[in-house]
Amino acid sequence: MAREGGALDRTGSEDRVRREPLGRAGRCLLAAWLALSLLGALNDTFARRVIGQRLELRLPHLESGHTMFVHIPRTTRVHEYIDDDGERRPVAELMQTQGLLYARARIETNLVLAPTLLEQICRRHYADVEQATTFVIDEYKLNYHPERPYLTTELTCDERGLSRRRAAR
Amino acid sequence: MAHDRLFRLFESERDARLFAVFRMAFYLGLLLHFGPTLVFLDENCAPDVVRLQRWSALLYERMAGAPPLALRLASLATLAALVAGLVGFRPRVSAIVALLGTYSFASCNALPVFTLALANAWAILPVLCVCRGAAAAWSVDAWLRRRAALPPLPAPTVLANLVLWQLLLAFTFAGAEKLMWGWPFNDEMGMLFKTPRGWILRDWAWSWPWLQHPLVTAALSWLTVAIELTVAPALFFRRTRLFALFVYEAMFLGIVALIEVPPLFFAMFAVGVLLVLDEADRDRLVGLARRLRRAVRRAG
Repeated sequence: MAREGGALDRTGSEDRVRREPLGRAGRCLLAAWLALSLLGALNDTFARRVIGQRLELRLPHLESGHTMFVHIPRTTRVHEYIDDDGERRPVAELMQTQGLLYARARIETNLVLAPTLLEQICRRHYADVEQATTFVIDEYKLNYHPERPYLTTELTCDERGLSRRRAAR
Repeated sequence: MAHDRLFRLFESERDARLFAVFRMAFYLGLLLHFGPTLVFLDENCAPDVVRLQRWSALLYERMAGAPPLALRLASLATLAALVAGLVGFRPRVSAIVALLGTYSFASCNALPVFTLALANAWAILPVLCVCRGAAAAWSVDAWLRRRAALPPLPAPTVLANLVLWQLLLAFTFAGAEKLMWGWPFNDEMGMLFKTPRGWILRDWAWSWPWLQHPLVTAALSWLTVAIELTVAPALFFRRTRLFALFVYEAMFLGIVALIEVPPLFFAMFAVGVLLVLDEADRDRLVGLARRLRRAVRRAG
């Protein structure tokens, strides 16, 4: 039996489309679900403009917008550590829970959301290796020579936790 | 009547095999996303770790202090549900467990899993909990029914259409949000390509200075917004469907190639849109592929 996938396709008869008709209750639930999802999408785009605030829609899939990088922070930090060979490596490697296939972006996002996470990474790393490690934070100003760090901070990770060594501009 | 046509749109059958491909990609994306969190509980859901509260405040307060054995059993159940969903075993039960498990562990600590793609996953999982058709093809359930000489499972109808709806709604409103933030007239795309190595750009993208050229970033800004706002309607007309599909997939391939993003994001959006294809579209694609192969052979 021939089938058509798009309902707005006018090249064939709608009678050839196989479908599973919903009852009245099913259609009501469907309409409610569609309306909620549309409301959630509008909540993050137009609600603030029109009524001045976002609505609290409670359902987890309606609580956030749909764009991750709509605004790039003008100050960004990259966190690394210095390994035994003196090479700088991403601190993501020191965590067991790495974002698979996007580890660096994951850890840098986490450190923006929770800066104290770096102290935890240090404590756990020191517990594993029992030797001091140098952590390096490069801060970049994207509006001011983004090709090089604006500020570099070195931290020592040892039995006392993280402590600042020096900052260089 | 118009509302009847709208409902008939969502009640129409979609290809069960394409849905199976989406099901596998979706659950694989969830496994890659949640796997490390569910395995390394002592680093993510324990009282002495740095945590972020983003969803259920109650679960955030209570879960970390729960007995370790209970947490481990919950994590194993969630992992099992994700695998069951992937192979199409009892899809509605596995969706229920997967939804409860992923939501709970994300509430315990949002840090390792927070991404906007998760909102779309949590819109799709409830639909998988309720609607039939997820295991109609290429699934353990379908295989078991064939072995028992039972009638095949029904193909996805409302299920597949709601998945498509969610993905295209999110895609379109991503463009709308960008407009609200001043795209494509601002320089956010330019700022993205100025971010330092090791932040979110892939190394090879960071090493291409021409990606920072104002003309290139402006063009990418305009293209991004234009594609996001026009692809969804274009996918629903046969004349523009395949072209819109190519543009859509090219955009997602470009995003993944340039930026480090969660695999869940690509798995859902890049694979889910294939549900829009019907038999005629597939025949056209096969025809295109054959013509391309002949052209390559002639050129070679």
